[in-house]
Amino acid sequence: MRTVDLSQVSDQARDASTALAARAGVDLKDCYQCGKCSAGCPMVQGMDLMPREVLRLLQLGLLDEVLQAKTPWLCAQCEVCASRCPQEIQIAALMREVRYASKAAGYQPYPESDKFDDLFIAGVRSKGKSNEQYLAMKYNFSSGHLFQDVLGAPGMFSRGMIGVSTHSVKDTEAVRRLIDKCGGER
Amino acid sequence: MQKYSYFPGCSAESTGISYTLSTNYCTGKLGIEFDEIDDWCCCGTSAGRLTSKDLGLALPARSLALSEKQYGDLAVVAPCAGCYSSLKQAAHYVRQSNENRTHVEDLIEMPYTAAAEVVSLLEVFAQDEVKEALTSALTRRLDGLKVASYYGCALVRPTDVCTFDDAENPTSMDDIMALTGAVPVDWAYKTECCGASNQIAAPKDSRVLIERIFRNAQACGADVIVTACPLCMLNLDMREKEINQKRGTAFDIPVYYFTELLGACMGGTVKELGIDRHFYPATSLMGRLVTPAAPEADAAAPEAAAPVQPATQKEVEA
Repeated sequence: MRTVDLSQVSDQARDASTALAARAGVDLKDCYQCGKCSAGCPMVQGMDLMPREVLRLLQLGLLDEVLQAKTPWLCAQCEVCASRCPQEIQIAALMREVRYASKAAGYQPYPESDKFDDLFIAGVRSKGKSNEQYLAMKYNFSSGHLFQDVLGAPGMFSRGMIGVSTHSVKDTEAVRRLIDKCGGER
Repeated sequence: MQKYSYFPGCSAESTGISYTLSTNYCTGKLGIEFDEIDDWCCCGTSAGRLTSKDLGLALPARSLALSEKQYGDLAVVAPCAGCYSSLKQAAHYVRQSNENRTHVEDLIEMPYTAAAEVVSLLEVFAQDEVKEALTSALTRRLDGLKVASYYGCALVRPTDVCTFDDAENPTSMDDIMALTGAVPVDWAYKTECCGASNQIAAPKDSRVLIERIFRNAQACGADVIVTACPLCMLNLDMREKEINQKRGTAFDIPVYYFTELLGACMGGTVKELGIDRHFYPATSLMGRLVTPAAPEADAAAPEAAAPVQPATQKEVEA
């Protein structure tokens, strides 16, 4: 079992954890570590911290460890944890808050997820709609996974699912302004 | 019969084309009108929420505000489960307080009162009135076809927002499928996540999610899996062959949109419904269709079970 010397945790770090959780509508004291969130999490096999460990570390004020964890970046946002939590803790919302803070702190615990979401929003910012063929292509180039899914693309093309043309909203400027206003500018 | 404001979503004309084709076929037969929201934009899906809380609200709210301007309080239907969940969460947030409403209106620079309901396509088809219309429109049946209804995440969660069906054991799709004579199987993965966009960003840790879904469907005796979401569909349908090759499994379970099965029973061809565009071969469905004998034959021989005829070769190939 791991031992944490709580006398070394600053009040400041504890307050920062509490404040982060509060922004997600979560009171950290609500969690009594039953583990239902982690038992039902479909992505837990790839995570370095189980969802309940994220809660526990935040309770202890070990914020920096949470900000450097892969877990929030591997969270698929399926919300099954929150739906089963007997204390109704908004765990998926908490994972989102951790991601915002992790990114703001300059950490890159799982660059692929960050890259994918950034490219997705950049695509919407440019056209107002998501164009899947360009998203997949840009992702492959910028993530370095050049040949991933390369077999899927011809199949999609022959099925009339993707083509070279893109779709777009009429008022692209309005969508761009909205995204920039919401902190999504790239 | 009914009218809705329609939010197609970004995949409607691309990866989700079969969903759009089969939905239009069904609504056309049933006389349900979908009026597209002019200049709708992407709902942002999880990428919006994961970028910022405001973006997760503002992108879907913009399209909802446009719908309100164009169609008033007419319910908004979003066939894609991801779009449905995003739109519904924005409407839910705006309804919670005047402060929330003002905040969203400031972000989108438009008035938005969230007067209109946001509904999924399942909800449209699950209404008694529509089920009655369906019952008379289904000219062919899928008697005995074992169907695993797959709802995924976004139709039932977050549970305080997506409330039209049970979060752990939803049954609306099972009930709709049963109208065709298909037999809904009891299975454990109805609401398990398919991995969503993690299948691109974190494939190594996510493929197992799809494998588990197929494994449970197979163990529970399903002939087919039926979905109500273009991303669930893509993740299952496009990856089934790959998983069989890489994992040594022998899944042989075609995946369909529930509207494809309904459309097939209303007389649609594989082309009209988009069943010929699947990755995993799916046209064998047409061979399972049976045409019930005319009611007069029943009356003449009330003791005998209604004779059924397999679909003709011409219908299969159509």
